[in-house]
Amino acid sequence: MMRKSYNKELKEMRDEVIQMGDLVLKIFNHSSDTFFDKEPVSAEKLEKMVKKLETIEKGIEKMAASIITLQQPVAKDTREIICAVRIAMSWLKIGSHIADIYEYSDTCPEKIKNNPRERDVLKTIKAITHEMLIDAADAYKSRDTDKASIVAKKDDEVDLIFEEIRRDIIKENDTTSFSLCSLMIVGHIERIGDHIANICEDIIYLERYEIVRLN
Amino acid sequence: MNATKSENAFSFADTLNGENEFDSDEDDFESENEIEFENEIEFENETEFENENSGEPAPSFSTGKVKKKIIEVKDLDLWYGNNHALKNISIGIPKNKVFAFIGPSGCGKSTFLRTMNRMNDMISNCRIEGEIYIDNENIYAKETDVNDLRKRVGMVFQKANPFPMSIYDNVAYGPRIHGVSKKKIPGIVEESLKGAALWKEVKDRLKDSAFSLSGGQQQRLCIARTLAVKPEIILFDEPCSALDPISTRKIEELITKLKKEYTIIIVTHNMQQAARISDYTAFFLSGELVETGKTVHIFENPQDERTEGYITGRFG
Ligand SMILES: Nc1ncnc2c1ncn2[C@@H]1O[C@H](COP(=O)(O)OP(=O)(O)OP(=O)(O)O)[C@@H](O)[C@H]1O
Ligand SMILES: [Mg+2]
Repeated sequence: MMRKSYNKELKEMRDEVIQMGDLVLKIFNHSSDTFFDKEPVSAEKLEKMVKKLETIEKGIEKMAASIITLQQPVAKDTREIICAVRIAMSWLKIGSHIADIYEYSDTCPEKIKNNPRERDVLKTIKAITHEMLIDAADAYKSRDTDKASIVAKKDDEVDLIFEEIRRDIIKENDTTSFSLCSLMIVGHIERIGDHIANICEDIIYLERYEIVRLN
Repeated sequence: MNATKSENAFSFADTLNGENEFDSDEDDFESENEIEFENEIEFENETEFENENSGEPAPSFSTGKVKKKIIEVKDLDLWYGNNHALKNISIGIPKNKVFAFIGPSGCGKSTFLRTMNRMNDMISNCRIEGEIYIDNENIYAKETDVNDLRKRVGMVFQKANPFPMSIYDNVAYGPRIHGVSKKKIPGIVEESLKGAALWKEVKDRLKDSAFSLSGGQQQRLCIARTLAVKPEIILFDEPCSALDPISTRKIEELITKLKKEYTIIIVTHNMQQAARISDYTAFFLSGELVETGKTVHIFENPQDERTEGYITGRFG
């Protein structure tokens, strides 16, 4: 019964962070469809979703500032606020990397279709990223630190693929726009993986008061 | 009512005279930066509790490896009649630090504070078991001189309680009854008023009644009165609960400054105050010491969920 409105404010802030995770997943699904499926999502629709992401992120910042000012949080509540702001920022950055990847959909998809090997690699990396996004969002929702550590480990797989493609390009001295396109995409995905790992670190800090480096 | 008004008028006039409360004591106060710097150094050098985790009772009595505490409380129990008000308390209070006691009303904070200068002796149905050592001397031993103890362990109360006499006489009172020679008294009064960051505000009106001071000034006068008998330890029982934010900050700064020369224990209901000024915190509940440790640990990552419930305000 104590501090009802305070508890409510903290919960609202958490819910907003959860909403950002869900929205990022939607953005990811829509824009990857553009690469692999027949029904491409419109640029406007994607832009709208990214704008919404920005709005929620700003809102979380404002909520955090007002809770700190008016409620003087301590103990886990302080971490709850710090992590909400940090995780919201990570989701926003992930969203904008996905939007950047989408930009390549004008020029890349035809070429990707014509190269089964590259197409497979991109599909694999898409699947890994998709899973990481789902699991990270889930780990935050369910406060699951074990899951958070596992998710962050998957980032290594992304890094390996990124390395492989990079080496491939250098070795074959093949600077065709096709491979370069993949490299750019995977470069963004590699950054997304880092942000997911940051989210997982924040979840662990939040729940266990431990500062860990997961990548 | 009228008194309150004129008190306000006083501090307002002081402000108009350019006597900004925070600047007025620059002679006897270090600048804020200096204080911060010193704290940093102190933090780095602070090795005595290296292994201490907020989960364990911070300064334990029997651990020989930690630096000596000025106060050691061992298995202390206290009853008021049948009311078991303090239950098996063991704690060490390090020298020249600020130690905060927190906990809900009635948990025994004031009672515990009073055991340290035997103020509970005056309560007829109060019974105490256990030991309290100050400088290795059991203060509950038969040979303890209680007057001497109360000189060494000063106390400042929630409500400022100046004596009905002049500002000067309030401060001179303690030294006089302890037989300090007449010649030394003016020096002690000045030094004590400076120590309590009040000198500049009262030096031209020392003969005025203590009641002509504002609430915050009266509280600093009581601190000066305590300092005048040169204690080692000062106990503060909610010293700011009747004060406005500016007077509160002033007392807080004063406490932070005083710890260089004195060991300080403060009871407070204000969590932010405990966090701001104390080095160590102990949380009490229903007469039990639930958790104690460095203040930063207690407030960032309490180990006991009752502590967390209390400091986050979700208690009860
Ligand atoms: N003089 C007394 N005689 C009998 N019982 C007392 C006396 N003083 C305190 N008590 C009882 O001892 C318990 C602890 O009281 P104490 O005043 O130490 O609490 P506290 O933590 O200081 O509370 P508060 O925050 O309200 O000042 C309470 O149950 C109280 O009723
Ligand atoms: Mg009390």
